Amino acid sequence: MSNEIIVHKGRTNIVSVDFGIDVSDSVFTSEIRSQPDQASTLIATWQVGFETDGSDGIVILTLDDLITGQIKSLSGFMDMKRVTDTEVFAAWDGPLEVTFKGTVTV
Amino acid sequence: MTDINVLSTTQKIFVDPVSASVSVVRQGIGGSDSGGGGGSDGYSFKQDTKPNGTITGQTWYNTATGQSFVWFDGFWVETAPGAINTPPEAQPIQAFSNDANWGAASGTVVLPGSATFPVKGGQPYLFEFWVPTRNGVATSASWTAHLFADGVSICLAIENGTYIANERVSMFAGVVWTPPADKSVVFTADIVASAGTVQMAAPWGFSLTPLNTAGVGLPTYEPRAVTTGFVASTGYTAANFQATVCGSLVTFRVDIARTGALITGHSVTGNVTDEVMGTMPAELRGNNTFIQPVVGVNLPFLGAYITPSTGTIQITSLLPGESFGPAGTTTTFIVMGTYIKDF
Repeated sequence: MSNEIIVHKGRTNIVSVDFGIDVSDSVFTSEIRSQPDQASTLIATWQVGFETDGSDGIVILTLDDLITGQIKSLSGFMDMKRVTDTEVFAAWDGPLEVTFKGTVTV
Repeated sequence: MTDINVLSTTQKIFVDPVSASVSVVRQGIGGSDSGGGGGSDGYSFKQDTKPNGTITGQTWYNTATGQSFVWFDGFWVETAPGAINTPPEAQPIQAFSNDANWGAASGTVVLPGSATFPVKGGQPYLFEFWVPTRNGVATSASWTAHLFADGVSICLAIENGTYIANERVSMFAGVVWTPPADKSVVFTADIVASAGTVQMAAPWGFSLTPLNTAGVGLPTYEPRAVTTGFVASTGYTAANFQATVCGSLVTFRVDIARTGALITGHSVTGNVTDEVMGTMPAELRGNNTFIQPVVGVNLPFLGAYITPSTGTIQITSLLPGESFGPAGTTTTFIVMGTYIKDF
């Protein structure tokens, strides 16, 4: 099993991220792009929030069905940007592959 | 939002707080790709059996043994202790000693060196703190040493010195301290001379021992001598008390003289009415409530026993017709024994 994120088109997708440390003082953003670099085409932007207040290390990523319903790509890459006290950190060690899957039920 | 896809809602990204590597875990309807989820403490699994169906990078804390593992190439590989939030209760006894010369103090001297140890909130620890000292140029001095946890004094050792040239005095103190929360604590120490000058160029140090749930300290295995604190009961006097404690094992001697009314052993059995002759110092008592025999080693004979939990030494018998006390056949017994204070 590979480390990939599956996004179902036309559906709301929710992914939780467990950092294992207190991240309540951090601000996160996350995007899906066509290639693992910032210059490539932006496919979608995750809505980011805490499950509680971040002290439990849990961050929730959400892509609304209105957004995923318009995605034409078959794959992409995503990572997270973590900002703490104006310092910008990578949330983990490299981009994750994203696979977009079609859905059947209208 | 209108539709929620159940499959995608159970995708989880676990970020290893140490290596920053990630593992994506999906739990599908009717089954699981991973067999478990991760917690906010950084572990994918916390259980006493090996998890099944794992993926590379997931971590497992064995609740039975306190070991941490990471799933790598088809095997659970043990990680270095403490690499991934090893719970403090898995830590053994921790100790620190510093050999640097801290010189002389006519005021306050911060002792060189410090130690950082992880502690668990709500877990009581026994702290034992030692600072060898001696008087300096003054004919008398008094001083106090402190052990600090994150800048707050938790342990105090006091020695009022009487000048003896080059005499060394080992200051020692013990205290039970319970941290309020899980954290890494920085331990430091100082010594304050309130009068005269105190100096020493020898190691200072401390140890912290996690206490068990019954509040009983795990034994420390560094032998140490105890020569004070023995209290004679009314009708007795005590002298030349010497004891050594190593872990839960105590061996001692004390000269006990009878100053009260004469006690005489039964003419046939030697039995006498049991009574407490003296009490061991608190640091040589423990949780063991079973009595253990001690004896008077000079002839004729003394039968006695100690109760480790209370530290009391009770006389039980003499030789038939033997008398103990002023003008008796024996006025003083050298009482000796070895006992287990904690069990």
